[in-house]
Amino acid sequence: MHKLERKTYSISFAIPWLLIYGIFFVLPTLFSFYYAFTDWDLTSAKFSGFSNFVEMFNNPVFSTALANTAIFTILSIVLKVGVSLALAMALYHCIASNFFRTIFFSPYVLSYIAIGVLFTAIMHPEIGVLNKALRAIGLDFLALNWLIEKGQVIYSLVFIDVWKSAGFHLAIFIAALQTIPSDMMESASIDGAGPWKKFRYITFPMLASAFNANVIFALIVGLTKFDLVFVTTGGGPGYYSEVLKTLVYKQFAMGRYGLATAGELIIFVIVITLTVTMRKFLDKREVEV
Amino acid sequence: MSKVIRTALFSLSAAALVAATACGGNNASPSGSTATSPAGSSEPAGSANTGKKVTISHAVGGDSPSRDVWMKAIGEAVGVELDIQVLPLEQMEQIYKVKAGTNDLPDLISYHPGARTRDDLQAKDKLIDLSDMPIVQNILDDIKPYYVEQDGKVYGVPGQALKFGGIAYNKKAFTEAGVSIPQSLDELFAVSEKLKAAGKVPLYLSAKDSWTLQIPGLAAFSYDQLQSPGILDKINTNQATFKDAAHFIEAFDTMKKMVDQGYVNSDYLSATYTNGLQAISEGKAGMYPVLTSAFSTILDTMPDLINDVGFFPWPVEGDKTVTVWPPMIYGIPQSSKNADAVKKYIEFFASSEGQKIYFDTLPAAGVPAYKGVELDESKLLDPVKEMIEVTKTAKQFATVDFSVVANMGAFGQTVQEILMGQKSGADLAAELSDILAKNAKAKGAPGF
Repeated sequence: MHKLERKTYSISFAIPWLLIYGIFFVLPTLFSFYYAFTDWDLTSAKFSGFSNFVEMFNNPVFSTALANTAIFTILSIVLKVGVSLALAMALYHCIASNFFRTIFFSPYVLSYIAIGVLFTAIMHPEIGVLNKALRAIGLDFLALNWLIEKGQVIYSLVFIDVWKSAGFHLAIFIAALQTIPSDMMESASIDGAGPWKKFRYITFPMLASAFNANVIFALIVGLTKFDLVFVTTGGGPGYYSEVLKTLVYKQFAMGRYGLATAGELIIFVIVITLTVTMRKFLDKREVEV
Repeated sequence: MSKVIRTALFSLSAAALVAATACGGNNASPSGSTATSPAGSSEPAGSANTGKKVTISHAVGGDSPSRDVWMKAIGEAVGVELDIQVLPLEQMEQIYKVKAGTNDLPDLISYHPGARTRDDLQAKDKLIDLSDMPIVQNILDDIKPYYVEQDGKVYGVPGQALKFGGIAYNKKAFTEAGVSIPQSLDELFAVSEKLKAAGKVPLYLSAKDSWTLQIPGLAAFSYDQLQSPGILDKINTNQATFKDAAHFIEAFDTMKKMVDQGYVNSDYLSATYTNGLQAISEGKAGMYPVLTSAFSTILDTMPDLINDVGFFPWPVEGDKTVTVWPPMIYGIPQSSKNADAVKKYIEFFASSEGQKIYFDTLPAAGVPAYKGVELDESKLLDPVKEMIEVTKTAKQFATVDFSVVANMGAFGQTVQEILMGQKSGADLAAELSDILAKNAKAKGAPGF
């Protein structure tokens, strides 16, 4: 009974925000899916069945955007989680760790717009700081056409996204590291466990929930990435960095609101399906670990 | 679904669209507002009884200090205050469409003319008919069809000067290389060779801002209209497609040839519009495809160099044409409570006095859109003189993207693919024909 009262009490604080969120975001989003089945020009909507979905799937750029989104998402999950975990382990006990945590977290507070503009200048093939620096130290062969070469552009975008977001994932890992009881580590040390064994059998299992949260965050962000791509490359050159969200935006800009909504619904289904599947897989693994 | 639920669904969805549009902000200037200071001696419009000035709301794409100056001056002359909302340039259209859909248009509308106003803003249902305003008779005959509907209604009048699409060139670079304005595509290549030999970038391209890549094709389409009369009407009724527009296709293939022959800046995929304006103004580049609105930007940012640049239309052998971008409209929504004051504002803007203020503040704006406006020739800037010359010798056609039956979308990315050797001008024409057909069908256009 006491437990039930506490639950009700805490929910009451959330109700006003849930209502606002529900009325101004969830409901319109769900209702708008009706328009995915119409030719909608903002004043009238003519029912068109599945034609918008057929048109979206038949769009020659759709498969490119889907593949780019997949590459972007998979690589960004692996790198964000991997890099931030490594940084968390390195920074947890190091000297001036607070200073370094601040340094690594600081890109996260910048807007993607600012970062996009910044990296467009940094990665300029001829006058960009990156290539100039590489050439100055004799690494000319690494001075690539980062944002304009069809085979490289999506990887450059992944790099920028990882650079920006690693600090956020690092903060989650550090918070989780702080919850690991020190006596466990001490007893493991007494039992003769080395750093790798302590990481493998104590730290990593204790970080499982933080690891899962980071993977899910990175998955959703990767699948719905728009701002960075839009500002940095606009989906180009050609369509070599087009992702699902930028493709949908272009249908919206063309005045095909029903078609754009159909695209959003497709992304919604992909995100929900992958998130639920990944969540189930990770939860199962967490129990096993 | 009942009407009430439909209305609720629409309102909520429109609100979500507004939110989505607002959230998609990028590197353009932030929304903000400026208001004119109190007028001097003019009688406030529509407020003689109250003594209070009417404030006209206005929304316009992109920041421009010069625009604020002349709008303020005209506001003061008419006795109204202006509340200007600056919209991010690349989202101006979407925001206007959403504002029209949600009956939230400002008192004074600034939007693309012709089919774009008719369709995007649902002019028939949302805008006031201005056909009774005397200034309608003063609109230049060549561009009148973009303002006067077939039934005689007028939902907007020109709110800017005429601008053209073509090529900006640097006169000093041309003199240095010993070349003159090319009159054909063969001459374009010959001029490029000499410019290259003189150490200049013959043709500057700025593919990072992919919209700039569309200009040569849109400029060349005028030759299709000249040499194949009725081609636009046929496209609009699905009896022809862009695949029939030979000059349109040739323009993009020409750009690719220029790249292949080393006549284009090596960083063309990274270069921006700003880079292009700087290169052409400073004479590092010989030619740069632009809209002539570029000259106002050059005047704002590099005033000392404005007379070093000139303008010529896309060069095709034979009779000459030039593609006009008909000026954005000034219109008034039916929902405006200040329609009378806005009408006075527009009337004054289009008058000789108003146009004098406009062209004095924006001397590089272009060519007047109203008859009887005399510009002081001694004050004309070189690129404007050349624009006026072009209008005397070349037949004018409005840009096709304002005239087609449905939105054909932005196609700069496909031009990037052409320049990278992935596609050809013919592929682009086929793609655009397909997109136009789908969009026209979705819109319910006859023949599709």
